[in-house]
Amino acid sequence: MSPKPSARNDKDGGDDKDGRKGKIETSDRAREEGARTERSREKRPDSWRDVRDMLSFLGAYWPLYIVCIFLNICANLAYGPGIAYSLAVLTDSITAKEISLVWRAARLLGLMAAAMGALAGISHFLSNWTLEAVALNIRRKVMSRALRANLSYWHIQKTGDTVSLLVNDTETAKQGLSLLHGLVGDIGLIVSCVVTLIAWGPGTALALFVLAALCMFVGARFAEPVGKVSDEYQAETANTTSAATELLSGIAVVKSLKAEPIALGRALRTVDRLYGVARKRGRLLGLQYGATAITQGLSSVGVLIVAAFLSLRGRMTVGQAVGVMQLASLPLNVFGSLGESWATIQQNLAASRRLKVSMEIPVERDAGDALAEGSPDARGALQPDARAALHPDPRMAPRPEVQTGLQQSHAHTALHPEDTDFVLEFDSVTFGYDRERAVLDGACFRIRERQKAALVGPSGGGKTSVLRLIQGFYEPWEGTIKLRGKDVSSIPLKELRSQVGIVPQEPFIFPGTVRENIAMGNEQASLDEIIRAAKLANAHEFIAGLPEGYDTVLDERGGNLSGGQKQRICLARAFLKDAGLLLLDEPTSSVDAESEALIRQSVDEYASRKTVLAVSHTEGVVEGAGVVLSVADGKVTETRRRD
Amino acid sequence: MKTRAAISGDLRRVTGLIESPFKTYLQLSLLLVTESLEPALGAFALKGLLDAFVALNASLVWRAALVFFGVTVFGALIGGTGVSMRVRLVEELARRQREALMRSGVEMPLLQFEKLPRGDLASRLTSDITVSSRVITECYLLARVALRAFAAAAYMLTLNWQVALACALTGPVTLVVSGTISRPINKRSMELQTAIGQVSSEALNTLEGVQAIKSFLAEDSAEKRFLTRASAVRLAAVRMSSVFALNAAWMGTGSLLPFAVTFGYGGYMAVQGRLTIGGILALVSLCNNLGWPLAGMGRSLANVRRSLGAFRRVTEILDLPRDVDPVPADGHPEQHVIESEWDLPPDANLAPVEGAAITERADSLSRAGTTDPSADAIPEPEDAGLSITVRGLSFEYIQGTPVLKDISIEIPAGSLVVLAGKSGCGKSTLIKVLAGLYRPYPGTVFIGDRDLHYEASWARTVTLYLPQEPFLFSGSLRENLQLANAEATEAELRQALSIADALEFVERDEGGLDRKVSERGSSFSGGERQRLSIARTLLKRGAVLLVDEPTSSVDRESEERIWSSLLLAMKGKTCVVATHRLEIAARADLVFVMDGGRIVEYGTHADLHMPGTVYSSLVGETGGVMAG
Ligand SMILES: Nc1ncnc2c1ncn2[C@@H]1O[C@H](COP(=O)(O)OP(=O)(O)O)[C@@H](O)[C@H]1O
Ligand SMILES: Nc1ncnc2c1ncn2[C@@H]1O[C@H](COP(=O)(O)OP(=O)(O)O)[C@@H](O)[C@H]1O
Ligand SMILES: [Mg+2]
Ligand SMILES: [Mg+2]
Repeated sequence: MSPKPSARNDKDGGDDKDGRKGKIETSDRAREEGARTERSREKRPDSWRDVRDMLSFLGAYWPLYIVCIFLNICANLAYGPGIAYSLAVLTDSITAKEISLVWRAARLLGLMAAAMGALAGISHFLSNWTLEAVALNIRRKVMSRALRANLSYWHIQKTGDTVSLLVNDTETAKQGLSLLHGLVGDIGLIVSCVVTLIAWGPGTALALFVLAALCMFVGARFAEPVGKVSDEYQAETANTTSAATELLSGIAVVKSLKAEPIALGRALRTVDRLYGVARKRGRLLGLQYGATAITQGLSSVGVLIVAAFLSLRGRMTVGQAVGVMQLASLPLNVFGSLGESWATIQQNLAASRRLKVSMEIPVERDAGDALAEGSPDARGALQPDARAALHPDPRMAPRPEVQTGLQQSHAHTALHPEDTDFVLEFDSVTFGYDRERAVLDGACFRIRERQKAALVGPSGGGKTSVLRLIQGFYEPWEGTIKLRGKDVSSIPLKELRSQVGIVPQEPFIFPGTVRENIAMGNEQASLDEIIRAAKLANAHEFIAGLPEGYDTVLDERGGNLSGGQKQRICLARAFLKDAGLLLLDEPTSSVDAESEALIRQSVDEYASRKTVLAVSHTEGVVEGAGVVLSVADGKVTETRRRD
Repeated sequence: MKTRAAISGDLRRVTGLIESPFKTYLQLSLLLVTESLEPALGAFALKGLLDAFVALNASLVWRAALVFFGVTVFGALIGGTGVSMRVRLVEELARRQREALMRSGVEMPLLQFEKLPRGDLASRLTSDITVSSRVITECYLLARVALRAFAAAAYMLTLNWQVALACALTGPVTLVVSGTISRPINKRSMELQTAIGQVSSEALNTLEGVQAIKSFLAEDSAEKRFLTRASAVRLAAVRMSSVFALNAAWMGTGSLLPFAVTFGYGGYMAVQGRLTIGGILALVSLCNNLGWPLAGMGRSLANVRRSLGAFRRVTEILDLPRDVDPVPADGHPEQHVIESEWDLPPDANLAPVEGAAITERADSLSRAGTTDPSADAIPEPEDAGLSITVRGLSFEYIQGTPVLKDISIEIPAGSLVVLAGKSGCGKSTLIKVLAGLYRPYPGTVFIGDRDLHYEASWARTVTLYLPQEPFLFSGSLRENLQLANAEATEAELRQALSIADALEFVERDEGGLDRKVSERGSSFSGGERQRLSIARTLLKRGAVLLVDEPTSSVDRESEERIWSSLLLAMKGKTCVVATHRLEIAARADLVFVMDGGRIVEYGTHADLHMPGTVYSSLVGETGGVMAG
């Protein structure tokens, strides 16, 4: 819905009060409706810069936006000076008792009605069309950024928060853009009114200016507190969303702990806090409404008195004086509600600030190129063909069509490891998640080509962290990690990750078919390849038993699978990727012995061609490992070596 | 009309959400009356002002200006009150709906809940509720527009009935057209809201798997999936806005119709001298209250429809059945007493050897006692040990594909029982049924002498359930632990942590129990999460421990410590453990072997660990581990 058309219409009234009311109603609604999520900040940044930022969301759509503004101004011209002019003609014709003039005024109005209809319809549609396109663009940008953010971003950020950015804040920012082009249209209206007023009598124009300034002053006084409370409101909305999302995710635990009252109570407290802020906001809006309404009434009377004075002196015809009434009410409406629109815009700006921030979150080191590209389809070509990783020799692999020079040079390095046959080297690596505590403290180890290495150690020792470092999710504080003799931090992440396969500790399943899940990140994979990988992971049997086999749709987080089944799908995914270095993070923790034995065979076979680094607490996968690396107290020690 | 009945039904429901509906509606109607009269008053004051103005009478102008100002102040007061009242009403409804929605999420049967996409629920909680909580306000605005039009028409009649009638005739035309135009709003807005729900679902699922997505370089395909959803939103929004645009076009024209009539007909009459200029101006100003509102009424109606549509999406969830214990046909559930002579499943190919098993366990317990003396202090709950009896239990998630098939087992009070079987055979499902999370049907499950079909929620109070996948909430560690027992003292917390072998790493961190937990506990390692989850479960008092592979991510030594102290803490209580670990099975009094949803073997580890049994195939040739 757009508040704009009604606001515009209300201006046509000779009754300024009522016109203003319509306007307030709508902006008030926009405010009530706008979804809001914003962490409140101590410092409220400069609004003009925020407006610029919001406009920057328009991207390539700015010409259309300008057209929208233009249409708006046209409509306003008709509504403002158009009606006032007709009214003046009518009044003078009545005083002159000339019937033909009356018809002229009526005809003029009829024509205008037809024009207005067309204009309003077109501008409404165009504006919505444009803004929806902009919203889509915003969503894409935010998602794109979020997907490429540093992993540490998610240590503090909640997913529920980002979801609400994508859904609610985008909607609010969109409304802001729509309100803004309405406001710019209003400025066109004011200018045209003022020009007409000056032509009729500069005195009224001057009075109008003074009084309008008063209106604006009163309105603006409320912009700040309303804006502040809006910020608070949005922060609380975000909290509510996050709390709800979490509650919904952990419901089985809550139920089994009989903790419904506590957990629900915690979530409901956020709802209550939100309600408290909302009530505060409601009171403020009411106050603001009252104050601006009174100022505006006063101002109208003031202008009227000046006009009366002037026409008493014979400086103006009565018709013109009546026209002044009509004209003056319009800018006064606009000025009066400007402060208020400003308050609404504050909220939209808060949303757009949040969006802006999320579009600027630090991304992983070479994700910038991907973001700079246009659509993901265009980028798809850039993505190294996952099958390239299937072949140890990159020259044999089907090369992607678009290839940067950088990637080629790295492929070269991978082919001719420089005076080392170690696939992976950790050289006194120190790393921790927060500055206070290092998880790894000078860890050193090396793994050879086609070796099966086991990584063992107490839970919480840092095994998963080692695997994360290898994939370049984090940078070590000190020391270097080398993949085939090349410092990991200098390998483009895309290439690095295409050379590393992983079965994560927590299986990740997204809602989609089994096939899509196994082929994740490798859209070119054929069904045969997928089945082969599933067989290696001992998953084929159970997948075949699912209602629709490989086309069975899996629920969120694999809700309709057992723990072991999820793990095996993740294994199949890694086998399909067939990368040069396979990382296994407790891959069989929920799998039975029979499956595990089969999986171990597959892993051994894999290790005969490639390199495997497996984390496990149980002997199963570790069995027959060439090296056993134990992680404890930040150090890595090689406890066994069989070459 | 069917829809009309539905609308009034929905409105009644909305009313039910308001805290004091009578007071609210009284206030609203008072406001409605004054707000509707106010424009007519304004027009009256304006007419006086203009007439005085045209009469060029200074004292009259002053008086009229005073009246005008008075009306303005009155309008401002009423309007201000109206705004803040409506905002409050909207927020109250939003709050109530949020509460109800969260509550029904918690209270609905887990099985049903698990089928709902969380993202969609979240979007109902935010996006839909912001629209739906405007129901009453939209209705109010609709009524106000209508009343204002009515008041304006009445006032116009007193000014000049011919012009007024001519103007009023344009009303119905405008209204009918407008109403017809906005009819598709209902469906379109439903489409839009559904699309928004899908976007939020997609976003949630994608973002939760961001690490795996990165590992598999699936950013682009994930983005594409999201874009498809987001484009659907855009399409739906544009489709909806096309209706609004048509409406706007009609409003552009329709709103000027009464003006044209007034200008033409009224002007003609004024020239004839039958109408003063002030009168015609007052008519013009009243046109605002007739023409525009009538044209806009269609849009108001569209907004009412839209918010009702959103409200229906909220009630859709509220109306899902609650997980309440059904009342048995024949009175109290306690009457379902188990026949003690009931036999164990005949299809089991080995007989239980109970005596031996129990001694064996006692041995292991005493050994454990020496390793962890702190566990002695664990308070014994009143009801120590309850037997579990399952008879003919079948269970299916999706109709037609049973996951548990005709399971019958008996677990004596105070025994340690292991469920073994290939992954996917139904262990977790059985455990969840025993934990009272899924209501058993068909077949019966008794804990003690209570039938879980009728008392699943009671089962949740006596069982301690450890899920396969640990879930931690964001907040602090303490908050997570206190979820299980809000009154737990510091000492109890530490004790539970120490049993779960979690005390050491919790204390190692500076934050201790106040250490922040990030979403889903991602700031802890997998094994740490499992141990914290164990500690949390232990804080809850209960007589039956149901454990679903709780130590899969924990290293050997820690696992050993956990089990030693856990078994000690659970002394005398009934424990059912689904696990692949051999050591635990070796300690168990009884092992049930499952395959394809059935119990295929049972007995002690020693009995079962013989060539040719399914169990031995599970154990594998290594003999050291049952499942690696
Ligand atoms: N995202 C994180 N933020 C802060 N600390 C973390 C995070 N992830 C893991 N840790 C801590 O780092 C240590 C090592 O974790 P991890 O590598 O997952 O251990 P594991 O050997 O069990 O895989 C643990 O003490 C854990 O609490
Ligand atoms: N929510 C669900 N919806 C549909 N099917 C499910 C659901 N949860 C589990 N299943 C299916 O039920 C079977 C048993 O699962 P589960 O009890 O988790 O096995 P286990 O714990 O023995 O590994 C599996 O085949 C799994 O696919
Ligand atoms: Mg780990
Ligand atoms: Mg399971």
